[in-house]
Amino acid sequence: MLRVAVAVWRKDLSIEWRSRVLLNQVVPVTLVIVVLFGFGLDARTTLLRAALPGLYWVSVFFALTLAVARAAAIEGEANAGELLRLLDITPSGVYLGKVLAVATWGLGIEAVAAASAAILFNAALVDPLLLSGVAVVADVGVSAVGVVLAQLATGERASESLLPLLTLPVVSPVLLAAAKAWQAGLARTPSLAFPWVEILLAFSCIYLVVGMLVYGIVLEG
Amino acid sequence: MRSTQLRRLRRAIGAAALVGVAATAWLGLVVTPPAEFFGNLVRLLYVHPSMAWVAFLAFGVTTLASALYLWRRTRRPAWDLLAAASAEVGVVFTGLTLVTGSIWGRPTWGVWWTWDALLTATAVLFLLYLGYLALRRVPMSEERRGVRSAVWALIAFVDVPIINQSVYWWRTLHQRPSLSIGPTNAVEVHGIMAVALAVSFVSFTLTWVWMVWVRFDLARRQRALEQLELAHAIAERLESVEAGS
Amino acid sequence: MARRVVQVRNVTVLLGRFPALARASFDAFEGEVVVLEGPNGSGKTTLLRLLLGLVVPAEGEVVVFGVDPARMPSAVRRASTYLGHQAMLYDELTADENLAFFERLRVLHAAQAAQLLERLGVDRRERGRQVRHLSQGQRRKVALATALAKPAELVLLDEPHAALDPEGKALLDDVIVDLARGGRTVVLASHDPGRSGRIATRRYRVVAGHPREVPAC
Repeated sequence: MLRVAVAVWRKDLSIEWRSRVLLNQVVPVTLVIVVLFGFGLDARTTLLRAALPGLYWVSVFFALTLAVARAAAIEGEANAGELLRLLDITPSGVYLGKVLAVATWGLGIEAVAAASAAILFNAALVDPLLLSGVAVVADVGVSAVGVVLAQLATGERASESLLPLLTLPVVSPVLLAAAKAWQAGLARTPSLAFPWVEILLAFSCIYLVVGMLVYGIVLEG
Repeated sequence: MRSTQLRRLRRAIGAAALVGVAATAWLGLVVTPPAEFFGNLVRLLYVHPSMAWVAFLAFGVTTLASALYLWRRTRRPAWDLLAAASAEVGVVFTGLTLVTGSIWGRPTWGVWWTWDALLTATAVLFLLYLGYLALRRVPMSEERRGVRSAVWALIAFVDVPIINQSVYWWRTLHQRPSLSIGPTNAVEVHGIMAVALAVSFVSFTLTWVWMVWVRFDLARRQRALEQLELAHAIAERLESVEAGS
Repeated sequence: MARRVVQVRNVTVLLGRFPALARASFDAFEGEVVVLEGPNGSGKTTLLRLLLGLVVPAEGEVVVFGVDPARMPSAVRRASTYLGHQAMLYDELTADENLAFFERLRVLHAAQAAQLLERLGVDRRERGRQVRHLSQGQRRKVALATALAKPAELVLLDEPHAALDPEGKALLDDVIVDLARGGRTVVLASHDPGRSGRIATRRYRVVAGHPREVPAC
């Protein structure tokens, strides 16, 4: 299973390396969202700084949804749903590989969004260890849900507009928890972040397991 | 014979639901007194909790039917149709719950909406099941739709406790303990009020049963019609084979 | 008599509301090259997919390697290989990278597939190009090589000659004949009877979802 996961992960990374769809489209979109928040809040840096955790995570969520859609599109192009069924490959391995790939891209998106938010909102990202730890766990959680839901939403033709509707409510606890944990980190009260980190960890673990269980059913059904 | 009996039962339930809702309106609007503190607003109490109850009941049934559909040994198209029917009615009642809650909130709290934990969780639940209905509209084969919407229903179900926990912490940690959670906590229920409340619970539940039943029956008929058309198409195709030989 | 690999009896398959196969019966034995002829939309593809459990019969019986593919898909799929209309390749990767991916999944030996590619006329330089930059014919050959390099007893090919030039078609014929000689069972769908008739050991004509065996002449 791990062998399959690594193979799928490597394959997705090298496809992205070739096509650079994420780099050319999703990363700029992330930047656009961050800039739009600046416009929306009338460029008041105090306001922006206060709202930074929430704004940051909203931007990351939309960008991650796009990354998930891209990961699904790669398989769609190759008609891989059928391919993997035909080759009788462990679906949970494929699932893990896809989650790993999306999560890897997600780290890049998060880094870009964090840097641009820090610069544009004129905010200092104190406690980087806590912030990045939260980012990694939240990233895995969203990817774990997103990969299953993207497969669910693929009918006879792809329905991209459906994906955010399905994903965002399900991952809303992650948004809440990650934003609150970041708030605690930025306010230099890291101890307050712990319950939120717990929720994030629980969410990610639960949905990784759920995903591994149902991904095969979704592929076959 | 059995089907006519069932139809009669269904009609009886529908009639009982109608009478019950009318009785709830009468009890709630005319018979019961206004409350000391909340005045006439208290009358919302006779509909709001029972609507919320029906909403949760509906999603519970959707989850259960979806699980039964997913499990291969109990897989029947009927479970899928039941899950869908119940989710549709559930979305309506969740919407009504949110609306009546909002009407309650405006005079009591001065706002149409407050980010109270229970309210927020209900709103997210509403969105989750809107997603369920949207997913069912994506064109795919019957079985695939059944499997996928069932998987989605289970994912949503797993999400509910996590959402509850996180919004509860969100609204209570480091915040003044917010306004009372729902109307029920603030009012003392007694006498005729309890009767009105009980009638409303029963009649709304009956309404749910009736609506789901009608919707389920309609879906089943649609399915039967489609299969009939299929049988015709097969027959035609076979005829053309015979003619070709 | 050779071992019976595929047995289809009175099968009806519905695709949505459309009966793609109507009371179809069909057999394939070990070492055969069975050709399914017929116009587009006559049900050839559905018949191939039926054998892999990708479509489920509404009625009738399917037995492949002694089991029902709809019930035990992985047993059947592990021992079969299938090439559909669509090349199941990752466009952004090169032919070699595609092969390497499948090798990592333990589906095939990349070296073997590369040999096959060589034989079909795809040279080393072309193998290092992204699949989307290859011509239709070359893409098709890459897809064929990945499908045929999988060690499988049952080889199902849907219009394998499509998009190939005459030379490529002849090369492919040789490969298919070799496979059958090696004891594999090949079922091949084609709307071009002149082409595939040459390598067929038996032929079926599929009309309106109903295959009929063509008597050998």
